[in-house]
Amino acid sequence: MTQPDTPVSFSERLQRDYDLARAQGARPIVADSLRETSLAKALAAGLPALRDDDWRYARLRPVTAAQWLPAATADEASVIEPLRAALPDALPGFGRVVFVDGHYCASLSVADQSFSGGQLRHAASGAANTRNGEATNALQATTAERFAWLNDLFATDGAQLQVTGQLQLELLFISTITDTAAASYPRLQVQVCADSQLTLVERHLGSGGPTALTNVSVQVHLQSAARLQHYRVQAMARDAVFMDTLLATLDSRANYALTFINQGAATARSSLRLRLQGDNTQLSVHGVSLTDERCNSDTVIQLEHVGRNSRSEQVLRGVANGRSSIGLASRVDVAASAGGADSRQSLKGLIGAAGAEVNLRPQLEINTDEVKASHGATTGSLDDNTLFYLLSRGIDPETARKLLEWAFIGDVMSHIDIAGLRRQVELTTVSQLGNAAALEALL
Amino acid sequence: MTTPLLCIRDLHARVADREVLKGINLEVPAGEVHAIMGPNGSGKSSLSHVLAGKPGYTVTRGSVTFKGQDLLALPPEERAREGVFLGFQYPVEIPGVNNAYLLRAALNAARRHRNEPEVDAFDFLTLVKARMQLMRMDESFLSRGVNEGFSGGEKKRNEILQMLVLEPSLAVLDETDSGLDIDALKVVAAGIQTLRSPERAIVLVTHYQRLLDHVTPDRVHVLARGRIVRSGGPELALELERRGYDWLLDDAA
Repeated sequence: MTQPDTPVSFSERLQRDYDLARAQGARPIVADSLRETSLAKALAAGLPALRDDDWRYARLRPVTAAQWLPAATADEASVIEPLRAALPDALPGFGRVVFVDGHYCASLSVADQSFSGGQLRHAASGAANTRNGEATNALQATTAERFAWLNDLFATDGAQLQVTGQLQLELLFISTITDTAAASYPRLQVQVCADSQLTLVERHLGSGGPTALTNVSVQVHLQSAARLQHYRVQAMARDAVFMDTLLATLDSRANYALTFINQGAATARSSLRLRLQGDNTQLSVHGVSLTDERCNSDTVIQLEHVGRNSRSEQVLRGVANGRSSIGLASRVDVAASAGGADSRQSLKGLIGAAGAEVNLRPQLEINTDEVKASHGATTGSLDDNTLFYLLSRGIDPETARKLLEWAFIGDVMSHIDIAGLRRQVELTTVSQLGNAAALEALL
Repeated sequence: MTTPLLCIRDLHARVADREVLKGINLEVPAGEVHAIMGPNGSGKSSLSHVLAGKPGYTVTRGSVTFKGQDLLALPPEERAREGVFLGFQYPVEIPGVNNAYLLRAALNAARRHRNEPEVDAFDFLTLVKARMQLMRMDESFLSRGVNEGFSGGEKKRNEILQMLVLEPSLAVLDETDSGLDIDALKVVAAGIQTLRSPERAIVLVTHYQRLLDHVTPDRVHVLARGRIVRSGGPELALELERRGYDWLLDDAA
């Protein structure tokens, strides 16, 4: 697919691509009514503007430059088979389901699709695919999630996971798009039923390229007393364009522990909307963004305390090297109905090089008296005294710096409770920080 | 006459616009323990920092020779690998980097510098555990973050432990005795005594006599207003304890 010669407006392009996708005969996996609604919302909202606070630190040009039409199914022999050796080691006790370029990949998946603790279906198999029913409908749409609407329009497949017992599952979303202009639309809907428990590892890996967009949409609904431990790792290739929207709703007594590691892509944006709908819910978010070269990683979290006696804790860290930039924003809204809420927020940024940038934006809006809330944000470079301490022990300056960058993200890394995953993430991280040989002894 | 291990000549140094060292002359031969005493703000810590190469200090005049080479020409990490150890007055906390890693990395950095093979994990643990026993430290400490959540006394013990593992030729201990209770002081003093040997020198920077009750110095120097104003034997420390510093300050003016 080539780019048109004359520039077209966002709405013209969206309408055109939408029509093209339909004309190409791709069987839509999202219900017509939802797609029409999403198209209308997307057209009305347009693309984000930099003056929009939620998008101020995102890099949008690569998104508009990328192709939006979805990629076709990758060739089994030439593309998928060679991937087998490159996949991360399996995590003991975890089923694995793989999607390649947004399409379910049976040959790389090593999990049966029906588990003792739940069921996974993929939309292209014929399962109806809407949004998560009432739970996410309760979320009034905001333009922060506009890229999820694009996912509604163009997704070619999607994982639907319903957990009715206890389950451990890994979902790998791999992009293989390199030399063709096409987009990948990973899509995941998770429902953890009452009193059920899920440990979910969601990883986004693979190549990209300046013309290949990966646009993820994840919806999570935790019913009453459901528990979800959710690890999200974005380790795309260094030239990838990655957009991501996560919407989660927690019913009463639900417990959601989210840990995310953003360590890849040239341009990455995650919009997270987390709603503590029920009473006595608990949420923790531990997240790290690591960037270097000229990469940009922007994360915007909107957290809503709605039910009574809800607790939330957020620990967000960003380490920017090279001439890269990181945005970490978190807005906490405590509704008038959310008496007894307890909300803690800690945002810290480390600027590892003179040309790097970290923008932290903690926000707190409280509409009730009966609340405990704290927030803090600090950005700076490495502490000279600490650095000198390491030098005075004979550690060379480069290793000392990397060691301190490593230490800086330690309170997030320590939340990865799955030994195999932690090892894999740590190895990728030390290699990204550089000076891997010196740091590997840490692990 | 043999060359002293450490030789400081007419050392002047500034931090920002303030002159903190105003002509220090000091020789410390191998095998000796020297105490540097003096009132607050006299330049004791500044001297320690300049010897270790802390950024922020500018040497404006004078020289420091260590084992016959120009110490001031070396960056801090090379000074450490050459055998200079600074025990910090306020050891920093580094959560996320455990003590075992730091100790081993530091030890191996020095060994590589001397073209010696790196120490393997087994030998390293054997060495460290023996030293920890001496310092009465629990083994669980090895897997904890460097100084993370340590009490003041534990931090100081950790400094001495690092010193015992690294076995420097010159240890400069900056107020290692401050904030220690009597028992901890004895443990720290025992650690310092362990390092004492004919090949090494120790410079104790301290306010008080009490550490010197346990580690008898060969020489005592009084630093005031950036200069050494009086030097003597161990009896000088006792006299300072009795008379304070005021009687010497006129000399420094």
